[in-house]
Amino acid sequence: MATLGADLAYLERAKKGEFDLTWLNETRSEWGVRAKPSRVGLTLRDISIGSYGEVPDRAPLRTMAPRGSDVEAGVPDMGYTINEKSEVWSDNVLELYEEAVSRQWSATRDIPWTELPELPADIEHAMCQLSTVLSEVEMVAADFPAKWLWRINHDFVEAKMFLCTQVMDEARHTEVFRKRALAGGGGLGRARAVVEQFLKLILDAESYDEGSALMHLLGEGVVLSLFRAGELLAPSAVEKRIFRLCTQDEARHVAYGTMHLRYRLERDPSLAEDFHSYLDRGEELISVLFTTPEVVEPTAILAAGGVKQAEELALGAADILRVRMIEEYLQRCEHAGLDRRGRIRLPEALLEGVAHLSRGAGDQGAADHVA
Amino acid sequence: MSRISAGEPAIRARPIMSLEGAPFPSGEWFDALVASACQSIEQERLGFSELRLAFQMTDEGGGARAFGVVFEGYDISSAGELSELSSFDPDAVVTGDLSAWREMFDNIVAHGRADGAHTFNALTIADAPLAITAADPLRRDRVFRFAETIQQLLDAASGTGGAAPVAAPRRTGA
Repeated sequence: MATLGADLAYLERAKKGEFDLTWLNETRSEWGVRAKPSRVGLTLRDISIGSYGEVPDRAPLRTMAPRGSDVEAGVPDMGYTINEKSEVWSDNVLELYEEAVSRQWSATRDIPWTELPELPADIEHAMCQLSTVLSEVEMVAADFPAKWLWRINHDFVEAKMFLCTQVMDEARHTEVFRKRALAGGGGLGRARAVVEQFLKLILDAESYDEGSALMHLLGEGVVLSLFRAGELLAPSAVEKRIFRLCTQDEARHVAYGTMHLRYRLERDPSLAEDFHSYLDRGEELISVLFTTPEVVEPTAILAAGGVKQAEELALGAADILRVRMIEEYLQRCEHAGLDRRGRIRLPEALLEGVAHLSRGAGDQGAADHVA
Repeated sequence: MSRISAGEPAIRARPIMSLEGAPFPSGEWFDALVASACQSIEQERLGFSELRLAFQMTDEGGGARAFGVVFEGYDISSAGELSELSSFDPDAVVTGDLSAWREMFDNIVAHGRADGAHTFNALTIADAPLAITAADPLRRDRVFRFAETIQQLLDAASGTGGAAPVAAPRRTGA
């Protein structure tokens, strides 16, 4: 363990011009490795050169020392519990981090709040209820990575940095939907216990594997579809812009989750059953979203243009979106190497209209070309 | 092929109206659309994009034509009309009847931007009248990652003046 405390003797020598300079003369580094910026600037990919670009499959130390630096013996053990690269890595994580930083937006500045129109009371209520649910569910996608970030070894710093962007993205989503609920005069609506049960499942996950599958792949996949539906159903250009900007962020998180699971399973296929069991439980709980009035009815009312119209049209539009949502989720699972088509745990009534659910040989090509 | 860069003011300043009258659909029309987008989109505010998107249009006789747009960093460029999709290697292909495309662009020109029923997302979410297809879900999801940039590209049709398909036959009964 390095001696703590100020080295006053060194200070005296330095005052006399007797510098140490071992950091200059003896540090083991790749002198001469020069990263060149690409077309958008100096990216993480651009600096993944020489030994600096080599991410170890298992981190040799548990320190905050930058990967590739000359680490002094005796650095303290930070107690990281995630020390295997495959536990957090994805092949697109460098690209996604850069994209996230580049595409940040402001819920204060980038939404044309002054153009928010006066809406009929039922439409405003529906929009506010939907905003309440989204403001509620989005923050768990900040809490979960935040809970795990400090446990991830610093050698996988690019993955940590990407998760930091996700924390910021989700804070902004929570912010923008809270602002939307308050901007139109309707205020916040109801928060339901059944929705919170799924959020608790993510937050209480016993491993990053479990939580990431539940959140990045299942939860955020569903919310991505919900954002796309929100853009379709939005009563004005203000909400449309909100939903499009949120869609962009959410799609990055889903892209990370899908490719992370793929990376994980390619290196240890024996984990497939574990991931299946996480998603079994997650699907059972998330199915409540499809049967919770506070989610289903605002969507139906926005789709129909009012309560009366919604009562006449019932769930016609919502059914199209439900099928789309489930199909996209199953395609991502399959792309990650986890075929859920024969195992999905959503109730039969919610699977009506979803293609390629049986485990017959004819379904092998289902993901060859996706729509 | 028109290549427009946010960092090349000389090209950005090219007058769009010089392409006035470009027929829709055509490579020239998409060149004009991209040129208009590069004048109107705040690319550095929106952030960079990496996407190869093909727009495929089927006419009443069943004939299909496709046009490519490449988003690369802060640049958007038109690949013009594509002789074959595979050599363009699109991340995603957006397909639909020519009449649906016309209706969308007519709507954008009429309103200055797509109205609620004619945004790119609204027209594609149910696979009709436009559908997004891709070789795999990750490449399809790229379309969602750049949703606002794509919408602003399409909305730029309102700035293409006579190049926009306002004079094209309108779909009836829509």
